[in-house]
Amino acid sequence: MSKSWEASKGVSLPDGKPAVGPYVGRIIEALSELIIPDGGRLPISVSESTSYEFLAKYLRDQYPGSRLGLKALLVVFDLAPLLFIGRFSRFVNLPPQGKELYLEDWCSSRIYYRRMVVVLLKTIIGMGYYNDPQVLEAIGFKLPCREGAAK
Amino acid sequence: MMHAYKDVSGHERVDADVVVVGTGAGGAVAAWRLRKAGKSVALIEEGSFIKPEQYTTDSWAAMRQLYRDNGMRAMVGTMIIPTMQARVVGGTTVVNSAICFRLPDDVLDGWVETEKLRGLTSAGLAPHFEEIERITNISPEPDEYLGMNNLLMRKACENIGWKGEPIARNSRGCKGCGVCMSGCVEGAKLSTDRSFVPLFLEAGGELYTDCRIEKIITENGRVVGVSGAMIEPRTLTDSTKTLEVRAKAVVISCGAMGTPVLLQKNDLANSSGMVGRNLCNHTATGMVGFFKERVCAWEGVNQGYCCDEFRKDGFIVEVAWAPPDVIGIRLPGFGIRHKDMMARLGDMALWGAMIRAKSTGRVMASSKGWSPTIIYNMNRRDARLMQIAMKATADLLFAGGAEYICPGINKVPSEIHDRRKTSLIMEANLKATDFSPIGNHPNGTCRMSEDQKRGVVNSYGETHDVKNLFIADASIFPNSPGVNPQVTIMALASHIADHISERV
Repeated sequence: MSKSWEASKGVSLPDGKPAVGPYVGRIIEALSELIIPDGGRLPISVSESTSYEFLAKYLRDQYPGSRLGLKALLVVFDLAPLLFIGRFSRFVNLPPQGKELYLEDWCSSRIYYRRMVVVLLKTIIGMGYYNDPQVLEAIGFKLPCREGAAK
Repeated sequence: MMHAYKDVSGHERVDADVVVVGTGAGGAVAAWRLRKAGKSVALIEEGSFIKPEQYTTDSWAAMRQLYRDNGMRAMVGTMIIPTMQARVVGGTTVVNSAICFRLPDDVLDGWVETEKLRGLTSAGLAPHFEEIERITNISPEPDEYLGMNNLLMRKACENIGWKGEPIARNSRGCKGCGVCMSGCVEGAKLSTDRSFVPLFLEAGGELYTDCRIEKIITENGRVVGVSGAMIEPRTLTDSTKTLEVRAKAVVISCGAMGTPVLLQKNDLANSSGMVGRNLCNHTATGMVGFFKERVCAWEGVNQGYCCDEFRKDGFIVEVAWAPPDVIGIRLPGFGIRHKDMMARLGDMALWGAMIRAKSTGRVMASSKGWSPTIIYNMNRRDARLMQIAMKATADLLFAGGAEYICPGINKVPSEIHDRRKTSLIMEANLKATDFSPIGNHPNGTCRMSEDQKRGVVNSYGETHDVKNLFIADASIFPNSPGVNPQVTIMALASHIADHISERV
């Protein structure tokens, strides 16, 4: 596991439990590496970014009901390949191509709420990655306003 | 004088001529105008006073700091439409893009005719608009701060022959950071916390922050005050401290989501059954275009130019921008393709179409807490109008020189590289759920009408049912104005305040 994923384990809920346990953590990791894989024109991998730490903090900051709902959604997503692409496997155990096929099936679904799940996943995973200073520097993004306000 | 959480102890009681609840576009202007007229005024805000140096440009941190429900509020029905409201001194004026339009005459005429309104004319409102424009320095930004995103739309309008104009904005010294929606870090945007609230305080007004008004106090069918709980600003939890303000008149300016909830929880002013109903909005969605030339859309005014060729047809196209993480959501797909698109962030322009939607929804108070349940469904007419507006946006992007566009519409190709292929947007059999819109500028939930069966307030913002209880915010709009509404809210609040001054 990456350094940043380890860092996310330090993010605790008010009751002292980690914001992300190992089961949900594995789903988040698999999804993150599918949505923002290594390679391409941006040299920073998701594991090198603040993405995981952001996600743990994001979950921590949710109202308890929203946090539970979000985790439940991730679990349903993980368990549903059989339902949607006929694979008797959890999402995290699918081979890379199977994972792509599965997420693409959600993206192109006729059911609006399934497409919205992908929007939500892209949001929570992308927010950490595309706010990371290294990633922003690689993109060439620099705010022209007051120094120090960018973060 | 400003009184924050720490300044209030135990149960505090205050007496004033008028108490105004909410410091956004409506409340701040009404309070200042009343104070200017010599009334003693208590202005109350649930959020805290936040200085520009305390704002952050980190999207999630900004949403937690400034927005209600952590920025996760949505209108829900057959689809989920995000809608935003701020919780801070200055209200939503703190997080908007500083866009300022006067209420178009044809819209005002329509409101007056349909709702039989009295005393509301273009000429009558003009002095109010002029004063607001002077105080908040409403004017277009100079070219040097417009940035390529705006200049490309100007070029596009010229090339295609559509009417376009620089957007007038309430700012002074804007350097075009492009992060207006997380609070102006330069303090250049003259949101009400930097214009009318300071003027109100200078004039001797009393501002109470960190206080959520929960009860509207009435006696013999007449309003006599409000009371509420002080909120610990760091944890946002209710405290045992309370504030009660007794006054001859009460002005509620909690916005189109907050005002109906407060009235519903108090079971007031709803003999028409219209409190919370007639929820209107400007439904809007964006489209990304990739250009061969560098755009660096984050350099320059966030929204500084618009194409208003189609305003009377029901939509306008405005330049838009958002932080990179938000742009990432708009781009199609995932994986390397998506990541490579994001690597070209500097080549992107983001323009958005905003329709004058005619669908209506409903705001309902929840049994627990103060966050409303918002029911809204976008009808076929609005979906069709959105389709037309997106086609126009696509044509405009190509007219500006876009290499290719990402329409962001289900059933339409995720990339269009040929300007002749924008017709695909019109040819697709689209439903509302094929778009990914946001619900801007919610309004209409306490409609102004002289017909007591249709409206909650009369032409002067006073509720039909409760004497001296006034509303001054976007909830009194009969329907969406078709342009960004903050100046209209301010002008109507100023008009209402003058009426109150004569009464109390």
